[in-house]
Amino acid sequence: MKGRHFSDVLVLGSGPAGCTAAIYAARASRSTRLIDGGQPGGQLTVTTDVENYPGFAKAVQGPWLMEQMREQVTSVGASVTADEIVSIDLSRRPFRCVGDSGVEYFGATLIIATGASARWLGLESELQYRGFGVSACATCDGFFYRNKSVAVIGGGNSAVEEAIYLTNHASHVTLIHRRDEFRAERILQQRLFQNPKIKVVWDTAVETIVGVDDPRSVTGLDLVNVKTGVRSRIDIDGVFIAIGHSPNTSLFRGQVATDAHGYLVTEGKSTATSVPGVFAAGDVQDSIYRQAVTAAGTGCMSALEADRFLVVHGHPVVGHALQVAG
Amino acid sequence: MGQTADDTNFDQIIAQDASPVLVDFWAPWCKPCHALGPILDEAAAASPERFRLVKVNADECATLAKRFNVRSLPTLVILSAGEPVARKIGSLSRSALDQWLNDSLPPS
Repeated sequence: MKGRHFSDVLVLGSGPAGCTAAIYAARASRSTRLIDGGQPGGQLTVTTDVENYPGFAKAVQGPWLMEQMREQVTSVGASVTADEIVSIDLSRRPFRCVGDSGVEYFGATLIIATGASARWLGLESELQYRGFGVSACATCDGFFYRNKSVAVIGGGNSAVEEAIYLTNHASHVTLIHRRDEFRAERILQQRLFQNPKIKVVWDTAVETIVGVDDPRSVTGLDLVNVKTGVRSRIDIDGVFIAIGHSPNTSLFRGQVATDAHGYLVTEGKSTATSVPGVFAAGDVQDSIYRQAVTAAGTGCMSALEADRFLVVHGHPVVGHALQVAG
Repeated sequence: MGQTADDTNFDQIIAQDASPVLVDFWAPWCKPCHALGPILDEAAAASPERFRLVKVNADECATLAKRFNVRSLPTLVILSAGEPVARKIGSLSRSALDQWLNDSLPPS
């Protein structure tokens, strides 16, 4: 036994959804613990400029924004714990979550805000060269490609942002997308098309990542045009995969209802999951919007709903927080 | 907390004693590296007899990054008798790190 912690509201995940949930729960005078998970701060920690989160007239840096949110969580009285949950039991309340550290965390309610992880192409060659020219993190690894030629795979905001970011380092960036239009915000697309270092290859998929051994490194990509079937090869030194994200829900499978794509299912306009007392916020339950601000919005909803659940189920607010003068 | 090495003193630090070395290639701008750092510190403090932790800031140590063919951060490399015997890319949980160390560290 490595310790047990009980809280009214237990939050899993430390992106905008988890942080906002913890802020609202703590300010409702609920004992609140946030477990920060395998990627503390979430997806925004591997981005650069954030220009669409309201409240900042000028672009802020994603990692900075998440540091601020985390500080806000602790300053309103919630606990932040560095741990990653490895098993859960939602069959009875309080819900039990066991951390990688062996510590047990119990929550009278549970807010799942575990977010989503970058997807890989699933090619054998991708695995072979991962870390040797194949990357999913432009802000981590772009530095290694100074004056080199790189490719980005994908067509959403992440892919377009990464392509633009990589022009700070690389001499040429080729953006390869399997469709003939981007899903990315139009302002990002405009910047992309205006950037002379970026070339876009439409309707094209990667068949193989080509490389050499000794030292192991990527040298090119074998491509196929999905409309014409024509194959081609391009020479590049590195490739960044940005084809979207999958929800981090494997921990909950069999205990909380998910849809066909693995997203947690929430009820109507609420964040309630199939398990009473368990709520879901952010990208883990959102296959459509997936924005920092929508994650924060659903994080807020989940905390308000968790508080309501606790009231209805006979958990009055206790402690010093609600002393009435006189 | 492990030792810090750079392009000039790395070989000297590695040669200090015969124990295996876990090299952590990181950079200040790499957030996954910041998440991994304390986990490595804990693991090194828990079993100082098994390996030494040596940290290399890849931003300042281009020669070492090139020598070990580091193209992604964080990258962990285990050295035994000065030679790389295992490598791991990306952040890890403590238990995944322990598992990898158990599988990869040479028997003492």
